[in-house]
Amino acid sequence: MTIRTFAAALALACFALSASAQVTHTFDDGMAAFETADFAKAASIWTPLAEAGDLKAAYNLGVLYQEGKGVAVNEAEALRWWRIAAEGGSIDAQHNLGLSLLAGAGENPAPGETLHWLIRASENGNAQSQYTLGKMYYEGLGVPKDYEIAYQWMGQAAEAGFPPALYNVAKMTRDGQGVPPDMKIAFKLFATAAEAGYAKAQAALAVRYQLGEGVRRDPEQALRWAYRARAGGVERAQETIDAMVAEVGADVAKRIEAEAKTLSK
Amino acid sequence: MRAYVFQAALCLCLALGGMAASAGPAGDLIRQMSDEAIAALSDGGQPLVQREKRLQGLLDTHFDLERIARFAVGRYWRAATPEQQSDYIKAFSDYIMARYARRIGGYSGETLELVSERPTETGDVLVETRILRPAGPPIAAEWRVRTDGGRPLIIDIVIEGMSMALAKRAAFAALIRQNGIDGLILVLQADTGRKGARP
Repeated sequence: MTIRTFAAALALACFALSASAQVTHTFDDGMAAFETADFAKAASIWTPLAEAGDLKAAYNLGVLYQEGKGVAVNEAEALRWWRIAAEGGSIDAQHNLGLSLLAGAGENPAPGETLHWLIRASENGNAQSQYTLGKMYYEGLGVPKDYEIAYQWMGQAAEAGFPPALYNVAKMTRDGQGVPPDMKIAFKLFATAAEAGYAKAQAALAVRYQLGEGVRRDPEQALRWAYRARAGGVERAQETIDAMVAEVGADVAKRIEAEAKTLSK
Repeated sequence: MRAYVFQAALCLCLALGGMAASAGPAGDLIRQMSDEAIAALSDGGQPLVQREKRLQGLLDTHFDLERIARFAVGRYWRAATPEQQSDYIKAFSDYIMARYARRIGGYSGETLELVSERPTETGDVLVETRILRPAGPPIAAEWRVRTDGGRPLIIDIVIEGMSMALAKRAAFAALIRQNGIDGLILVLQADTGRKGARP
């Protein structure tokens, strides 16, 4: 009896010791190792934490497997950890899982699983997931084409200030897709995205000024935004530049180009 | 599986030190890129995100991403609108840079050995290298370098006889047949849009 009690106590003590040895590393220790590029150490710290139900550790472990950091690249293992974290409510994991399945990772995901996770992440406010859903419905990719649903998701991402979403909502508002056409609102949306530095919106804004669509026609403003768009890599802005330079004259154009250059830096 | 080999090899090649002295500008390009990658990786004073940004810059500088992107969609390029073309080039470049720069962490003491440089019938130079690993047999990696306007740029990597550009082309053709070029762009954006580790 005494021996048995003693043995039990000893076993308990050993268990407590080994348990305390395991929990000497915290999630933050793993993060510190990750930041110094000691990914193998980060993986060894996060694995037991993730197995014990730490969602942040599970999410980051998924990232290590996806990127092959400290462990061999293993998309299936990345998806497995992200699923655990996503089901536990990690928005980043829901987002990554949805995008991974959309990008073709994983063997035969259940039908609708991509959509399920993108919707979960979107409902939890992830703007890029909202944008992705918007694009899927806009183009009819993996779902039936539906401008109204596309507009709803894209609109949420735009409200969060995500520039590509602002640009897409602006185009839909201009073209009356999923929403009645309204040139003035479209102009304002293009302007917001352009001011956030989104080059395609800058080109579109230049065209609004060039044509006087939703705003009073203004060749100098058109030129200003077209220069910025071109500096951002939008080649078709050159058409606006050519037309507007011809209108305002070379001297004014030169001044505006110099101004635009300082703004683009 | 093949894709992983490419990624691993590219990471290794970017993260090499001590490459033998080479003769031509193509070999020099590969060596210079390795040296710069080592410098970026060893800069412990910078946050990881910054180091990965520098690696992305290296890929952008030394690879002709636009040419690779165009090759990868083959005949579908001409059918695309100018907006689709520029969206695709951006999505492809972001995809390559993000994917490969993030995977550099797998570096663990590999070295690169320059084997030979030889011109091809199309005027490119093939730089033949071997990746020597602390564990496991060496991997054969060939770099196709094209000089356009006086500047040599990498346009393909051939790992163990398999071309990255051709592999992408096959994979992309399947995606385009299914969902058009817009579908391909969305898939590339989805791949790139995944978030990294969080504190």
